[in-house]
Amino acid sequence: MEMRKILLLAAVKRQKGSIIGIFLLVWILSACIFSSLTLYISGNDYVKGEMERLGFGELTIWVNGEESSLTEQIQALPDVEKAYAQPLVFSGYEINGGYSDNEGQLLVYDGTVDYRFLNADGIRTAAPKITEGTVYISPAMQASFDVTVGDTIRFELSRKDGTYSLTVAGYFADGFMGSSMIDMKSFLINASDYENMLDILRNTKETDVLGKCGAMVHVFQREDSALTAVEFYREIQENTDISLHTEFSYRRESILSYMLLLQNILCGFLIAFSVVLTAVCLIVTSHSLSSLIEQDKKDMAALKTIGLPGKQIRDTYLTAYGGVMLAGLIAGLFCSGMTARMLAQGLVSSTGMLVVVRLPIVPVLLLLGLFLLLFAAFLMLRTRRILKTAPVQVFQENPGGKIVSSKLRKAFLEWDIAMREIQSRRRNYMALCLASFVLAVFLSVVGRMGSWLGPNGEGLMNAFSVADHDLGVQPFNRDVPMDEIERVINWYSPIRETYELAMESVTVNGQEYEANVLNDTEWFHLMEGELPDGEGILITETVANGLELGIGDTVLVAANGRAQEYAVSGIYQCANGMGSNIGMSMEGYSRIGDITGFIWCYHYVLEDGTVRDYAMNYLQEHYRGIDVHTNSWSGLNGIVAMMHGLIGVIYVVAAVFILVSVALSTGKLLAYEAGTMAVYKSMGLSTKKLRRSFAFRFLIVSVAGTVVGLLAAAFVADGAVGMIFKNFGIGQFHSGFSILGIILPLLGLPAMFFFFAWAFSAKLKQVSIINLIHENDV
Amino acid sequence: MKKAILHGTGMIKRFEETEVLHGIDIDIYAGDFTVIMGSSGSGKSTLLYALSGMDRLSEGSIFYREREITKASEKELESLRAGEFGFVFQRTHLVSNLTLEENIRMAGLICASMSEQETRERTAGLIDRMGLSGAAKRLPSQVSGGEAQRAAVARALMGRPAVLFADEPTGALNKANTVEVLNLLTAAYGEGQTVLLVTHDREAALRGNRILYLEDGMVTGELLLTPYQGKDEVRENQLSHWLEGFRW
Repeated sequence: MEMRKILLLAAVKRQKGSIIGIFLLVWILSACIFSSLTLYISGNDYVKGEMERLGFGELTIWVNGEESSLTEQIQALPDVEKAYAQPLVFSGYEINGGYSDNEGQLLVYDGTVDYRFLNADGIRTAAPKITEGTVYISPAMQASFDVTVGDTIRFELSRKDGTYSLTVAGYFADGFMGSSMIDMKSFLINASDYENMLDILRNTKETDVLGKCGAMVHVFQREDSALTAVEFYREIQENTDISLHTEFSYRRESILSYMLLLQNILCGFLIAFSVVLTAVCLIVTSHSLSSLIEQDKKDMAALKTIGLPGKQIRDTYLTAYGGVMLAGLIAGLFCSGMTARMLAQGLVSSTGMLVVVRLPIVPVLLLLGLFLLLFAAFLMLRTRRILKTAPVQVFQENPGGKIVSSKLRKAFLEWDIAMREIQSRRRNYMALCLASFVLAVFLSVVGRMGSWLGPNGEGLMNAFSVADHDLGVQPFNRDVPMDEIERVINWYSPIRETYELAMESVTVNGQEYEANVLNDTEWFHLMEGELPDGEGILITETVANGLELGIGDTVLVAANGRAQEYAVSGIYQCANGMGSNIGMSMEGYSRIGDITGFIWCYHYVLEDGTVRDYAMNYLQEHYRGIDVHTNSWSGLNGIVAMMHGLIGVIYVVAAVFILVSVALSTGKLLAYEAGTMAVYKSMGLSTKKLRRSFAFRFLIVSVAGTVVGLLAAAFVADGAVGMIFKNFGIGQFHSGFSILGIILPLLGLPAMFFFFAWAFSAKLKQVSIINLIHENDV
Repeated sequence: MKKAILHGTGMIKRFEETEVLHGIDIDIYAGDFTVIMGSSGSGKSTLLYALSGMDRLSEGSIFYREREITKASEKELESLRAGEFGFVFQRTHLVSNLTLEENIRMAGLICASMSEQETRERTAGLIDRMGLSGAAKRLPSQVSGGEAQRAAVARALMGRPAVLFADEPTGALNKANTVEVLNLLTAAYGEGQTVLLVTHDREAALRGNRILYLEDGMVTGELLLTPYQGKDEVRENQLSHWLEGFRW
């Protein structure tokens, strides 16, 4: 026992640099993986819990009136457990000069529904009493409208003096519409304001009314009901008048998908990053351990000659390294709660909800166990050499080596010495090469995603829109002067192209989807197959998977009580509604729907797309009876900010990982090569040149790893990201050449390896040649 | 009168609390084969490394051609090591992944005043002179100790140093290899090379023309001999008699 203690203390003392480095790597890895796991599970549990607490059932149907009778009808159905309506007012609004693309829903807060209130930092506050003239909003609106407490929101209820202004008094966690993925937002108001609004709506002529009364009808399915979600909804549609009043509806799963989308993307990337960090951590630890065993083998041999069994020596290493890895895991686990809370708080402006973070004990213990097993197996494997080493072999060992025929040139001496070192001690550098390879692949994937996303979220805009455009104008009546509006748009920028889009509700084989109808089908983002004519439709991959359809299949599409058969002519890309939509030609839709109404939105592609926001604001301020929008939605900024934040965090953690990895490697290499360095110094090679040559090795190795990594990323990145994105309805992901995806990792990774190696080699300055030579002599 | 190429005055070297050199004054003359002898721990290697600028003194000054090197910057010392001084260590300290030829050539590549062409030619010349033609393309681990040490001597001579410092260069060699290495040093001295050798080997010391004895960090004796011309009983007796005075 005493012997073991002596050996362990000596090992820890001698290897404290490595031990600290490995502790840091495991700590970062552990904090990253456990905080993502915690946030993922807490978020899912919390949002599900919130949905239930806030009274959302299996199905929520937004209706534009008659909620009492509809609720009664629904309640009477055999498969319905209960149904109740939450009255509201639908209204467009304007904040700080920005107009909403979609209507907001104003709900009375009287404490019946237990909403959770938050401050500007996303921290929970006590439930307030909402006073007259004030409104509580989703924190997600901070990003989309730059709105803060004290700002005024003008709700447009009527064309004639029908603006109703309320002052923002605070924030609340919006059960469904809080997410930046959803353009529609909820507002909590005082009962008096609600009554005032209803008065305005009642007293406004039908032609002037902009807002409308409505309700959310929450429907709960009986536990013993055998109907699927689709069948349950169909039963309600077929047996009640709900379809006459439905604005839109969502199943519980859809709402959860929307609410958890951003958080799941974030957690997904952090978990993927943790896998990369695990690989890098094991590679670096493996290298560090091998170098250490190589360095210590004479001591080990000496200990064996005095009768110490190899197993006991190995146990010393296992205890030191296993202990530090366990400590790193535990320390990371302790930090993960705090990190997850910080992430949850940071996500409030994107998700609109403050997830209450609770450490999921069982999954955490399982993951901890898994990591312990992995680390134990890894350490057992890497320390096998200790058992095999025979003392005599070590004492008689000839370093041997292979002759390497690389050039030594006066003008490139530092570079050539670096090349020689790498070539003759390849194994020492393989770990660094592998680490840079793994990091390059992942950073390239992340960078490609960042580039695709674009500085303003252009990637998401295009993925979620039916067809590319800069500006869309939908007139709601005959009085809208479209010719004049086009002249205004032309004044901002010449219109390059224009087409018309209608978004109408249809059912495909009985399941409800949104039909994107274009007068010019060339604008669809076709991925496979052919564009639809009057007899065909396009479907997204989500629809194809959901309905098990393929190109050439025949489907029954119905709307407004008319149904027709269509052939699936192709697969197209449109992530709107999580991909739950189909594409039709105007001719095709005319077979089941009325194409003469005010369903068409005129989409314009401008010569200069940068002016689109100015044009939109002008049109919103000067024309009534139109909806103007860009190829964006109000929450996009929040999502883009979150994604950019995530990419930034990944870059920073990767840089810290490289720093620690290089520190570990340089420490070992410098100790191993102290004598050689001293000899070079004794020959007059300056410390500056030696340091540069030393850093060049890291540069060369990391360039090799990075280039191979980038080549690999070129093949796998689109597929990997595309696979993740498919879950969110984005069927196609293409990344070409980009600064973030290629240039940044190509330059950044080797630059960091070079710079950190150069910085850590400063040790060479402080040690005298004599000390180095004597150290080597011992 | 001979001119000192290296001049040390009041040289004190301390390692933490222990003083190894106690205010030594010393001159090393150009063209001499100076040998520093002394018992183990007397400070002879410390004196050699201090004189060569490889180690800093705690107190005192050292002048190389009247230029004080104790105050020289690291850059100036690097330049001295590259162009003016050559070193041979007890262990060869050849770079393990360079062949003997490359180890020798490396010194020329580092030396600022030598062109690449000159380096190549001088390397070939030194390999020939050191009898290393057969081993030149091998790594240090693939050659005998004698061959490796001869390569180390060649490397030290590569930049035509003004002073060749040798710290017990034969300490790890067998008798035959010891003689070979000493012959090389003697030959270099014969061609005008200033040599400063630290040794506790009587045979090695006999190759010098000036022998200094170091005791407890002080130079306590000096013996001048005629230049080495081969085995010479008179010189051997002179040295033995002189060393007896130090209970050697």
